[in-house]
Amino acid sequence: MNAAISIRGVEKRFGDRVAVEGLDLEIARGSLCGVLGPNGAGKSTTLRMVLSILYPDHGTVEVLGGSALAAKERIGYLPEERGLYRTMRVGEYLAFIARLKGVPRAGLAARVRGWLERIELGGVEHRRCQELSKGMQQKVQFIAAVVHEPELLIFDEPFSGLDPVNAVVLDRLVGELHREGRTILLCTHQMQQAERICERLVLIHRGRKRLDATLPEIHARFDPRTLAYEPLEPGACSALELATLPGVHSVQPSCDGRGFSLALSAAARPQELFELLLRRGSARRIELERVSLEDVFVRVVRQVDGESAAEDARKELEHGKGD
Amino acid sequence: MARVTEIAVREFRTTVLTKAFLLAAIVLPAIFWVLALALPFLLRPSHKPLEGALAVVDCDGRLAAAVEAEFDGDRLVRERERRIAELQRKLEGVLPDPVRELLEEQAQGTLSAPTPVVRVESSVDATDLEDFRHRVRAGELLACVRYESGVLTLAQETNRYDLFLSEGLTRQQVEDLQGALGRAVVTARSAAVGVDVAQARAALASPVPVAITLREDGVDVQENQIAKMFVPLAFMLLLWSSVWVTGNHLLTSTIEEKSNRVIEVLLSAVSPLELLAGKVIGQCAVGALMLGMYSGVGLSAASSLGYGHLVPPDKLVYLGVYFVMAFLMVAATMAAIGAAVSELRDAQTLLGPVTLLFTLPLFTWFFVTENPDSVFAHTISYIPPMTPFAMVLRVASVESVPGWEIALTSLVGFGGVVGMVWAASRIFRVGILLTGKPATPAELWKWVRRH
Repeated sequence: MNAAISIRGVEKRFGDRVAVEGLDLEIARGSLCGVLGPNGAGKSTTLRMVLSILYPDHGTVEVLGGSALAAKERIGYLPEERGLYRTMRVGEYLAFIARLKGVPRAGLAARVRGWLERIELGGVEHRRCQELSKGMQQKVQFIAAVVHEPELLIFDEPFSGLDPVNAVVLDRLVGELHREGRTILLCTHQMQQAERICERLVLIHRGRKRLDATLPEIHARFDPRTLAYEPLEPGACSALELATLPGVHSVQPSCDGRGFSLALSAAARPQELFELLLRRGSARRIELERVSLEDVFVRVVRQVDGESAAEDARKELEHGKGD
Repeated sequence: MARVTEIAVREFRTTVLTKAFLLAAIVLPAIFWVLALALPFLLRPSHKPLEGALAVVDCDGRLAAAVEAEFDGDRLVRERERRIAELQRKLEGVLPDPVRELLEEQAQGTLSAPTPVVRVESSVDATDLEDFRHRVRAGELLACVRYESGVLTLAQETNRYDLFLSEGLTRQQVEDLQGALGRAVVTARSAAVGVDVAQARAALASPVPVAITLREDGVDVQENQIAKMFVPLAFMLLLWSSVWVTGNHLLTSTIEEKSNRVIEVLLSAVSPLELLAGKVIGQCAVGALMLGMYSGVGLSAASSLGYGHLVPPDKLVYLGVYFVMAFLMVAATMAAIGAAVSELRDAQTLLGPVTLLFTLPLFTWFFVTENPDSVFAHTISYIPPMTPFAMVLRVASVESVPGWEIALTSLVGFGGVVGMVWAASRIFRVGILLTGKPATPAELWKWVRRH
């Protein structure tokens, strides 16, 4: 495997607290990988070790084929706790960061202007950072991470605090950068966002990796085998009637009371059941439900750490949604 | 190294190109310089001469006559001319020409001021005193003086007189009056014992020393001891202010980067040590700029006043060396404190003892300058962080500190710098990413020891 990041047996402690424990991770070059987990799971600590901001107590971290320290100029980083020099002008700030990342002085101003245009911030080059709105500042911070056009991009909670319009702009740019062949490691606790963007997902909980798979693999592995059915006419059929259908293990009314949730037996064939339901009359919705990443996360934690830990994980995820 | 340079340049520019720096480093010294030039003019006395009548009561009229002679217009002018001539004689060869000319100019100004016009009313009848007192109270007389007969004897217990003053006299007028009345007694008493006052005064005048230092290089230099005392102080204040001001800039910029959350972006591009080095170099350049500007102003002032020889080039070289030593000590400490806290107000707790430590050398100025070869001066020269401050005082105080001692104290001083920078870099590396509660001294010590 041609790995952009290779983490082997990494452990990191802060005093008595274990932040990361026994972490093994390989991120392929050119991939777009999401690192997921609730707040405090150890995601940011892992990223900081990849960037040589922190060093592991045990284990090794290899980035772009060498030490993380040597690869700093080839990495772009948008930290979760991000900031700007408030009194510096936008153009000066971006040029300063670019220079630190090894961009030659020649053509730097044009490059900065180009990025500002690309992110829909044209004309703010000479304004002081403190004069920009929060959304604009976040875009400037994003440019600071990509202005040197690095091979590896690490985004820690890139969408947090962004309004929907700016989130779409950033979303588009992340996609463009990925299509340009850059490796992107995206760290977030917003599972839906990661599911929409990432090719591969790594779930981390309490410093340990709990899952590492591509999205299709996750869907296949955590197939819920649940069919959502909503007849066009309410009351056209009952739960008892549906329970008699072949392959149906049990039936529960849906939360909104308009339809039903059919749990399928292991031997059931969803396609045959689709046809049977259509023959019973017109339907507003027949859908083989896709498992949510939140559910996957809770199930993984349950399998490894037990019911109590799973309940805690669910609460942590709920808590994180507010961020 | 390129990254360190970028950080240093940013640090330098953001510190120097601010209104606060321009005010502190350029405008204020300029104001002081202008004030110093204007001081002789501003301090020129605005003399309000005595004008009016003075009553004298004495037993036989001899003292009244002496007082009247004191206020004789021609005699007053002659006396002033005599004093200025005496001043010129005292200053000749003692002070450099620019200073002497300045003082003489002031004296000429005083000479051209109007002389007192005092009319003396006298009485040998003690009962007239009450009437004179009423007239003083009513503002008809400037004052009234009563001399007892014993004042003309040489007995100390009767060497006094009573003076009744009207309201509204200035301090200078009262001093002029008392001076004249006192001199009148001395004149009358001298006449009583057959002594010529002018001769006696001339006989009692101490000779003026014209000290000339014969230097090894064959140049003879007239020394001014007071100026020699203040040169070391000027050196130390230059050193202290430049390192302390820039050290504080380093502290605030580090805290700003932490509180702005820009620190993590920086650390994704440079190592903590590169960041620390860049910041220290940048602020060192700021300090050097300040030192250069203040030294330049001071030197030009000293040269224009004829004191340039008190600051030879080798002493300026030492000032530069000790600036680097002192700056690195202060910078290491400030960077460590800045990394250990998240807010400026949190820094105050740690800053207190550090301020005390670095202010301590200021209090040693007098003792070290008075006796630069004392045990005390030698001892503090070998105790970092006192070393650069003590040595700059000693080097500026005496003609030459032995070369071996400069080498040894430099070794000790820069050894202290290495230790402080090492400890600061360890604190910086750990503390720079931490937010929230400020670190305690015990925690700082733990960070230093942590591998």
